[in-house]
Amino acid sequence: MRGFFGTGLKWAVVLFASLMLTGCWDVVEVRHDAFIVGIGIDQINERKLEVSLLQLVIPETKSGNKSSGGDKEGTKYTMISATGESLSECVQKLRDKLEERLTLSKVAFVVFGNDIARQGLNPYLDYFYRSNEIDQGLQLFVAKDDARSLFEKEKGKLVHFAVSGFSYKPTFLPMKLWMFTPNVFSVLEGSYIPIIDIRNGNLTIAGMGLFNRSRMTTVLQNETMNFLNILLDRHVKDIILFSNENRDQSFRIDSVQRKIRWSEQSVRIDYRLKGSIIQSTTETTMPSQKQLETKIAMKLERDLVAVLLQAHNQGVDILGIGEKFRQNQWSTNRWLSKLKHLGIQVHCDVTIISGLGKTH
Amino acid sequence: MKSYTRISTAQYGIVLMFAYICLTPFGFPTLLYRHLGHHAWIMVVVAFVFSAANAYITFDLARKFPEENLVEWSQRLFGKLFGSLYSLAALIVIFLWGTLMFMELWTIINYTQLPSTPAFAPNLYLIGAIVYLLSKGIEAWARASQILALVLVPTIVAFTLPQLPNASFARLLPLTDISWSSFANTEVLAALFMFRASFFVFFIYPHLKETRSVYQWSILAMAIAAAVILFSVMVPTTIFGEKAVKELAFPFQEAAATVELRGLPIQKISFLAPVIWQIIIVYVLGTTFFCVSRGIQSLFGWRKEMRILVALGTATYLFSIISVPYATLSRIVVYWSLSGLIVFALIPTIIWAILKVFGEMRR
Repeated sequence: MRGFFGTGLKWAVVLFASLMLTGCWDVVEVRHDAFIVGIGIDQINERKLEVSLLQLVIPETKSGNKSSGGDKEGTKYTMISATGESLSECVQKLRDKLEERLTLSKVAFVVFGNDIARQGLNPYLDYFYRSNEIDQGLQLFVAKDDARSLFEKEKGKLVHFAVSGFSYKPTFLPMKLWMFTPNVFSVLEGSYIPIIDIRNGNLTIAGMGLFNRSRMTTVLQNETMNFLNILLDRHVKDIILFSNENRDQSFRIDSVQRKIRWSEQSVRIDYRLKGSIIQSTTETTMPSQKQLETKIAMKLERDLVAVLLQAHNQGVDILGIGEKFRQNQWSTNRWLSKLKHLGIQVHCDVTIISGLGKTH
Repeated sequence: MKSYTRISTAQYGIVLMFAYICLTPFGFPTLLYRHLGHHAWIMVVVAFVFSAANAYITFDLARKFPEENLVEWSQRLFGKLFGSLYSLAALIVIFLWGTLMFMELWTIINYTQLPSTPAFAPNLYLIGAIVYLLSKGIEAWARASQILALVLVPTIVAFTLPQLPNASFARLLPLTDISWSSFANTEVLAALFMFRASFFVFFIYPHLKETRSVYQWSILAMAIAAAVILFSVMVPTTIFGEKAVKELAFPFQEAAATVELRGLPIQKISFLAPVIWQIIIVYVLGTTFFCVSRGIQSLFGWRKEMRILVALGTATYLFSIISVPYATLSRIVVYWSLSGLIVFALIPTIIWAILKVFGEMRR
């Protein structure tokens, strides 16, 4: 018996281990993986969805591609689509179409068609929350029109932007899956998703979709979307503000300090902005620094209040006032209707710290 | 085989710390969120205070019988029959601890890292390694645990701290809207057995080189483990919010998945979770196998330790390859925890109180 537990057992373990260490059992080579980098989801009609996958093409790999593009470095992407009544059904059909193993662990972004965003993303996000392959850090986008046509035009630009390019846009507000999560389950915190488009071959941020839970209820257009940065106090550096509608003077923000005072009846938000005048188009003498600061501050106050009212009227609590109410144990019953009637005061204090190369 | 049979208190403290952490960051938080919402972390504090007091009783009992393990002193106190029955119940609870945690670990690894890998091969190696280590004597296992701790401690720090920038601690407010009746629930009460590894001292005490600072080491180990568990309960709520965190199966893992360390060779820290907890399970199973094999030797008078270890390893292995729904597993863990509270908190407290009273009377 000792022999069995001694030498015999050791040899048995070594032999069994050598079998396992060959590494060839069920192995899938990299070139047999269909690495999906982007998913697009569109509504075709009341019952049908179309799911488009953007697949990274690894040399020597063949797949059932319909169209392809590539980025500047020559990386190729191919698009493959399927229709069905649910996201999982579409993914299943796509899995059948592919000659390689469908791999979702490299998905960097999901683009929702505009129609789907307006109906609500929850049924689709559920798939992503359950999947053990999907990364919490993937970026969410809404297509200006539909995701499929965006994929057909994107030529690798969207992949590049979602993976690293966005970090070079100082005022871009990314929305990742995990950041959107609290919003899906509570009306006390609103959220946003960037709306993207391809115009003249260039990827552009066409606006910001504002979301009540998972439903896009309103859109901040290109001209107003940077006010969202200031309201949220995120990525504010390098935002350009103007002194009036004619854009006579341009003010570039260096820093913002935000202070919010909460009460059950009203919310007061104070901003202290510092920055530089980067351009003045007026031929006449510039107003005094104090006058200019007041002009920029007053215009900004009006703009910020307008954005807040637009959001609140569409049931989007973009500042998370409701969550603050919950934390303070103030009533949040019928919150969205309460939000519309809540007093909002915005006060801005602008300081021009420099005229850069000119004295003022 | 048993040339080294004694370990230092520091080695005991290290083993105990990881045994305390166990799989708790993945298992209990989900149950606690369901009943206590953003107050879930309070139960960790309550369990810590309760377990610290219980650890003192455990330590004091072990000190009263310095050369005996739980089976030996319980047979002397309760008589052969009742002592054996109590010992058997204790050994079953300990054995199930290792087995249930091992089963839970594989569910997590399947979800996080190896969805297509069948459990039979890696589990066999893991259990084989633990059985082999223990067969070389308790000190060989303790030394290996010490070396593993050098890797494990910085890895746990790297896994947890980067989550903080994504956290918004205001989500844990308000503190005052707590409903104390929510605590009167079996799933919540089961969390009192969160720091269950205290029973280790009942079996390891005769094998400690010196015993002066055992309680201090136990509390230090428990405090560090409590900090890790507290973090694992609090941070997911601060990232995802109270409502969302109730919906997620493994909130701590998802919280780690929110971290992106751009520019570093390792961008995602979430892949560390299976690695960390596969090492932690070595501590848990090592503790389980050691306590149960010692107990079986004392209970049945069997002396062939290697055979007992192989039998325990085989039984744990067979359980681990059975596919059990996660909800069922969680339910079993709840009932097992309640049984554990009776066996390792209630009964030892009664014994300790009786011994105290009789001790005082004799004096």
